[in-house]
Amino acid sequence: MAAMTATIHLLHAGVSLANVSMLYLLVVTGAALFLGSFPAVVASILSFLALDWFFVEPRYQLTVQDPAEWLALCMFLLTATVTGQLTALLRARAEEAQRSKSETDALAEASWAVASELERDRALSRVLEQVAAVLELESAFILVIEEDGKLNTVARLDTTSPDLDRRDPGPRGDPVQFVIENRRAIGWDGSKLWTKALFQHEHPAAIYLPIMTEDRVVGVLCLNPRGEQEVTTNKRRVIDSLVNHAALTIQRAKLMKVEANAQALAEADRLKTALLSMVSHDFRSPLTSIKASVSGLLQEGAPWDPDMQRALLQGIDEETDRLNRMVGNILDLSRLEAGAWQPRREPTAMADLLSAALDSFDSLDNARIQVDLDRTIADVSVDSVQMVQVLRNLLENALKYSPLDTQVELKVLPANGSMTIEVLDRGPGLPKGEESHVFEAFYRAPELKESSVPGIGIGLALCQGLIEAHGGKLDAYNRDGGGAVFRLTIPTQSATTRETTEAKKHESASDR
Amino acid sequence: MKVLVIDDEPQIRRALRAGLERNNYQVVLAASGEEGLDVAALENPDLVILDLAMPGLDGFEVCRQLRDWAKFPIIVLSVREGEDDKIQALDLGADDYLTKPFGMRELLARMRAVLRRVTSNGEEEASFSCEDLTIDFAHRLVTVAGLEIHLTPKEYDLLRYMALNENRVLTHRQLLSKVWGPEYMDDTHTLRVHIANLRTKIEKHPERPRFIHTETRVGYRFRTDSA
Repeated sequence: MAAMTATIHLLHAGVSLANVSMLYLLVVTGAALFLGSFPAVVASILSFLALDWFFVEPRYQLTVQDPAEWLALCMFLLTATVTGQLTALLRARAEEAQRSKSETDALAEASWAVASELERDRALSRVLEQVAAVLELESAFILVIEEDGKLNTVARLDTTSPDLDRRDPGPRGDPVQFVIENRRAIGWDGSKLWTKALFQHEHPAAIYLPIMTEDRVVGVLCLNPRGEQEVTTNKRRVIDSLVNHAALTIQRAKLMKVEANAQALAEADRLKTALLSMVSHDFRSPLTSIKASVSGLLQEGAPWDPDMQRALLQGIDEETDRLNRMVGNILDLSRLEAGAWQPRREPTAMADLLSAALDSFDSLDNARIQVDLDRTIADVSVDSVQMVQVLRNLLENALKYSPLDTQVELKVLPANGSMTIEVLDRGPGLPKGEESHVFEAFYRAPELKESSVPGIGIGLALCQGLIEAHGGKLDAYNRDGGGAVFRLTIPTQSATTRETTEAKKHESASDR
Repeated sequence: MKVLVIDDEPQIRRALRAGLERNNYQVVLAASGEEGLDVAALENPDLVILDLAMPGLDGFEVCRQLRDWAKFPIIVLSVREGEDDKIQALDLGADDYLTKPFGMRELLARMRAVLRRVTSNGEEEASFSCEDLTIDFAHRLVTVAGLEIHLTPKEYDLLRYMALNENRVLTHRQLLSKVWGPEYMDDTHTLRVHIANLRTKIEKHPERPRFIHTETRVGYRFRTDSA
């Protein structure tokens, strides 16, 4: 003001009152724009006095000679005040708009975080960051009530002041517990609830907000604002909205868990249904033949022809073996589905695996199996029981689905760091386009579904599961010239090299 | 020959009694581990058939307690997935195992094998012969189809020990400690190498052995009975 007066004096001594008053008006507008409404009023009055003192005759007195000039001065004062107030209002509006933009931004950010971050704790951390954008915070954290009822601090911001923590409740009461039990926020409206919650009058300037879905408290948001801050209704609204975002996040995480469980249950249900239909069909057929044979043998009347009797008994014997294999496969598969298979690797001679697998077939079947084993393959590190089972199932499968007068080949091929075993048959091959489906539990080729070839579609699923548990893979192809190839590859290197060196060491010691 | 059957399943007890009595064994039954221990002490059987999975005192514990005082052979009955059970039972002093369900013929073969060990204890036979394999223990001479086979000393010791315990399961540790000595008990690699060599030397089809059968994860069985 003084500077403006001096400037006007220096530059335009004696210019007209109208021009000078315009310049003072500029000062008032500036004050309103940069300093606010009250400074604008002060500037208006000072300008009025300055005009009167310096530019209105008689100068350097507050009296006014000319009534017209008196009117002009009054008009100036009025104009200056109104302009000042309007400008100040504009400024306030702009500020308000700015603030609400940052609050809207915070909400938008939080919405985005909740929508894009599926992991609960990370989403909550980002919501918390947005709370910090609205309210200046010393520290803040979010507690979630987990399914087991325990409180868990899942998001935390700026832990410079560790005194605001769940582990350090007030001397008399726990604000978090109070919030959960009463579903009410404390800290917003001064000390009233603090007194109630903690039975004490002194309290930290902290705010505890319940995070609620419907009418259930699922967590608590704890805020420790920096210094004395005015929390406007608007800010409160934004923070409430952010709390709702947090509630949504927690709720969604719970629903996702339910959904995952439901999916697992649906899969288990599918297996169970398949199992039941299998039990009704595939288990009943051997049981039927056993029952028929036994009841026939038990029948009183004419004695049985010894050969016929023997044939019936042999049939019963075979059918019980078949039932036993089916039960074994189902048990194994259920263990596999439950993820209970852990291969117990131990160094094993490839020849031992093969001979054990071949041992389970009778001489007729064995005559059909042609073995091609590279004898340089020393030891492999595998779960021997599981590998024997895989080989047995693959061979059984190949024998079952190929004509009796054809050979089944088993080839063991060493490769660098891995071992490949192929089982080749001359059967009908795999249905075109469904090669990979043969490994699905309870899958049977469409044309085999009602055929007399016994099978329940478990063996291959089991093989694949076991091979994958070994870190290997099992594939099926159609073979050139007809038939199918099942090829399994499992890594072996680590065991073989270690064992070979050990072998060298012992060889000399043991063969004395 | 008196056989004690310890199994909690009445149907299995009945079937075993019928099958065993038909083969001229005298059978005593026990329906639980506790009863089994009492009956064993009272009857002093020549052989015990013991189910591993029983409520109350289970087969492992019965096996351990029987071995405290008894020398008679014990054959345990286990379920299919129980490779570890088999090893544990053998470590506790069982002589062999059978996987449920099993055939009567298998059981009788196992019984004969474990009983032979007891009866032939002490005086050794002078030679062994099965199909085209012969072993002359006095001269350490092995022939296959009349042709002499050269074996290293350890290969011969291994073959001899297995032939003397024909048709019985022999665990890796058992073979290693008996043939190589207790300090080699865990040296399974050596055993695998020798088994492989023996198979190529005495078996017509080494990948489908007639004699040296693999008992997966457990050990080997030298089979002379027909498969």
